[in-house]
Amino acid sequence: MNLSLFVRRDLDIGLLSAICLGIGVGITTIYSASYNWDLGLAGNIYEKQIIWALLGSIAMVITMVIPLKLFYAFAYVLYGLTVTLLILVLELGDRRWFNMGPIHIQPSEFAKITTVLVLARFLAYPNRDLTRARAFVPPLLLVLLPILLVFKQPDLGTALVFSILILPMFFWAGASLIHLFFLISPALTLICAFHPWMLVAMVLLLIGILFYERPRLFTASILLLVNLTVAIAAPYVWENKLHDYQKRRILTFLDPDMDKLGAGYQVIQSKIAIGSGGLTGKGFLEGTQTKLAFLPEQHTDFIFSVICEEFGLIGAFFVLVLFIFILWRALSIAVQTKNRFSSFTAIGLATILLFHIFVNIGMTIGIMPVTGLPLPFLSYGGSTLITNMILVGLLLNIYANRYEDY
Amino acid sequence: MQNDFTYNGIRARRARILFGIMAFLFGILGIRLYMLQIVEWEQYRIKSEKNTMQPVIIQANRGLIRDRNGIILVDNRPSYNISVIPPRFLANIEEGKCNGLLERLGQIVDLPCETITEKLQSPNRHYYDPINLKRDVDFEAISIIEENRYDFPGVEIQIEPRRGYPIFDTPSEISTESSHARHNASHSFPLAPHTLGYIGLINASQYSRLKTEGYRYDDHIGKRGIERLFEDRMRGHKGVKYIEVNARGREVGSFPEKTDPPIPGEDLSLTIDWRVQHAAEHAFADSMRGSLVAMHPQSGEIIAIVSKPGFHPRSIRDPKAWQLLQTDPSNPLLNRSLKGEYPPASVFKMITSVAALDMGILKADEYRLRPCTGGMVFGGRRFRCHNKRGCGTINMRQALVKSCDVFFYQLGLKVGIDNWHRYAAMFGFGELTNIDIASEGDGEARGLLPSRAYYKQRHGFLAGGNMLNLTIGQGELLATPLQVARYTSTLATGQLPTPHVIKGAQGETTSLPISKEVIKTVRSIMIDVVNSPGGTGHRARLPDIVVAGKTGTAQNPHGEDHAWFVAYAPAENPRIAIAVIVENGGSGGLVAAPIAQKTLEAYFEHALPKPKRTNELFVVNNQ
Ligand SMILES: [Zn+2]
Repeated sequence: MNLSLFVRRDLDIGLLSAICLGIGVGITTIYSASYNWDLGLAGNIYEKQIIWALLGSIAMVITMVIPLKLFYAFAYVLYGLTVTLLILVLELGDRRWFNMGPIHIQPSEFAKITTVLVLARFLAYPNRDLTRARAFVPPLLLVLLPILLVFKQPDLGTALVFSILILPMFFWAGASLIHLFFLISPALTLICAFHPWMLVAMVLLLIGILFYERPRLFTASILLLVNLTVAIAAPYVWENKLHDYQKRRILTFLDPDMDKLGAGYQVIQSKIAIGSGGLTGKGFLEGTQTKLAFLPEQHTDFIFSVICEEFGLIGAFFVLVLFIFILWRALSIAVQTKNRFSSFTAIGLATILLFHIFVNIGMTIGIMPVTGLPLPFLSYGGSTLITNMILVGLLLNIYANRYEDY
Repeated sequence: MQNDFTYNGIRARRARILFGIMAFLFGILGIRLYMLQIVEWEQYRIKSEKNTMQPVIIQANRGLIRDRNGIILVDNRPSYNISVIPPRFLANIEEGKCNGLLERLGQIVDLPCETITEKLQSPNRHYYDPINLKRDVDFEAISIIEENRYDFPGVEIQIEPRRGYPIFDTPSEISTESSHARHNASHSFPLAPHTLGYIGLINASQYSRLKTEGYRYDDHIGKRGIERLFEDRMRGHKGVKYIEVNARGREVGSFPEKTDPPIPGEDLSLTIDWRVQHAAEHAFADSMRGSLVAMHPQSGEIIAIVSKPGFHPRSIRDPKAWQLLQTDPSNPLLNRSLKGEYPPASVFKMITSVAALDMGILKADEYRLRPCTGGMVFGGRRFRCHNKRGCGTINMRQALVKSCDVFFYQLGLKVGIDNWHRYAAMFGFGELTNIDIASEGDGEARGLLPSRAYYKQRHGFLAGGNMLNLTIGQGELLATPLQVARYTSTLATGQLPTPHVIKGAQGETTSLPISKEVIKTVRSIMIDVVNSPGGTGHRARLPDIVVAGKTGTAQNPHGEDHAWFVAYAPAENPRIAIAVIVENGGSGGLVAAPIAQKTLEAYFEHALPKPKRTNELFVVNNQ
């Protein structure tokens, strides 16, 4: 094989450069975030992130050269393996990690990718009739399992990643928007259940759409039953079954301002950091808020605040454009590839990235709850960075083999 | 529609919709950023340049643990920590040198300079948060620092609540903690350490998992027992006050009106009666290993639960003492009541009796089985009776009172393994008791109740000799003291309760499909075991309350026999059921029965309403 030809035609240089740029921005920002004015030097965590990035590159290259056929053939096996790990980590590990000396292995990270693979394999089967409710059941069960296991850890943020995966993938498979609405209707009802008027509106909307769409009687009754159960049970459980501390935990999740000390304080400080950055920012290593306002997670969850404070709106938009470019590449890879499995995989991976980006940045500017989801490629953390680079390796692999069908 | 992959146009259209949704989401982010950084920039710039508020945590009081009468078993008391605010402290020392301030502080807290500088590097904190150097420091160190505050810039003394055990906390015990971490002199240690558990410093992975729930990197968290299982209810909610700091982080004022007071954690009430618990723990000699479980037979409320040897919950604060506890061969950290698995031996013989009576195989007073001559031959092997001289021709009542093995070998063969297994399972053997203090890793053991299928799977066949061993509670049979206590409750009432330790957490009670007459007959026999002349359980007699009981002596291939005793009282109206095991204790009647007797005595001394005193010393029931 002619190597130069391979590089020119089959390597998505745009995507690769964007990823490298993102990681570079991340390391620079981590350096700034751990910089100590009184001492005049930074901690050593940025050096660790460089090591993680190098390890991640190796993982990415390995993922790139494994034939996609193997991912297809072993999708269920890989899925089964990661689900087993999720069970084992609850029983034997630390509920979230396996501790192997200094290295923590977090199976939920890998489970995201294997769940995408297994869903892609299921949906890639040529004659899935997604006008029938029955076709939705097996993939729903496939995601429900990791959701429950991750929820038990408990890691609500990651559980949401799994739940959201299914919508774009169903849509890509040809499901209509109305069916997707049916799918998320229990979640909407859950939110509306605490507000009588919103609940009435929700029920009317659901019934209206049911009349318009006229699904089979069985499907319609199941839908109504599930929604009614949720509407009735949610306030009951809230009033009678939850302890005060559990209610408080849910309320602070939805509204960080309630927790003046933890999440609320972080969000307030993050907004001050971002707002005070202005158009051009305060300059590299000059962020007073990030240095003195004591955001404890500034090198992980709140890395975006550091960028905004030191490089202003220009820096923020630069990062946003970088992410839009990466997601656009993922989407066009999904369009271009001939193979259905690859196409679904690309959509699923793009969804994972988009959800992390939106929830993390939304959290720093106070429009999303504080979930602890990191910002892809930028946040400090070995297992997240490596997983994201594996994910990109998969996208690059799909791009390189976009004309190949198997 | 499912063919959209063949028509690339449809795929592209769907991609455009997805890209549109994505652009919409990014639009929200962009607009919001524009609002913050351009429109509201002035306001945020002023906020960031002005003196800022810095939060200071106010710890919440952890919930107390009380016994069933409201007596406090675990409370909170202050302890003193020496901590350092790194930037202020580091600005006053020479880097890489161990002299001056660093050296003096090192001497006070008894840590080498490198350890101190290392501790100051922790990244998981607010920049100006103090870092704990040493917890639980004595008054001497506190006063040195207090008196010379200005010589120690950046060094602070903090008060932190620590768990206290009001009933048995004696000041002397703190100094001898590391040498006597194990419960040898049990009177100076808190009760029921395995059940109450302890709290300890949060570890790195717990911190990373729980930081969104308000935990800090140097918080305490329940590590074992009730402290761990009810962490969420007992920890409370931290409060916060705000101090004003200038642009370089120095404190310049405070905002008392913004203080958010802490919410204390919930108190927990247990079903344990500390007076009975105390008597039970003291009934064990210091050198004994074993367990005792006493419960209210109808409700399953645990009245006392002992596992010996014990430990001091505070030993976790002292790494040396903790290391000793973990390597101690007698395994003091093991909760034997829930996790210790032992052959139940002769206390299990009531299972065979209940099965035989309930199925009508044999009546209690029938002399139908062959006499005991000190042993019997079965399948070419000789099975001995513990009474080498033989027990003669006896009925079931006498066989239980004398604990004859040969009688039960014969009876076991008549009942058969399947029926035996069915009845044993009714009494909850081989199954978790689902006690409320066993979940999420702090679990209980299941024991082992072998069935015909078990032998087939394990050994390929079921030998007749296996049944002979099972019927006297030996062989592969295993049970926890908690299971045996529950079995005793069931013998007392005919109902299988779910044991619990948290007041009000009563679980379900199952009635056994066994005739009331059978329960009555077994009761009269168990009364005889304790009260008839020469009964093996006579050491558990009480002066004027009728006790029903049974001894057991479990053969142990690895050493001395384990001593068992089970009992309930008052026999006619049971209020307490009890199981005792002493590992390698020898004879059950000799060693375990007196422990049960002392516990019962303590219970009836305090029990209300006072039980009716019976004048008859024992009920003779030989028709
Ligand atoms: Zn005998």
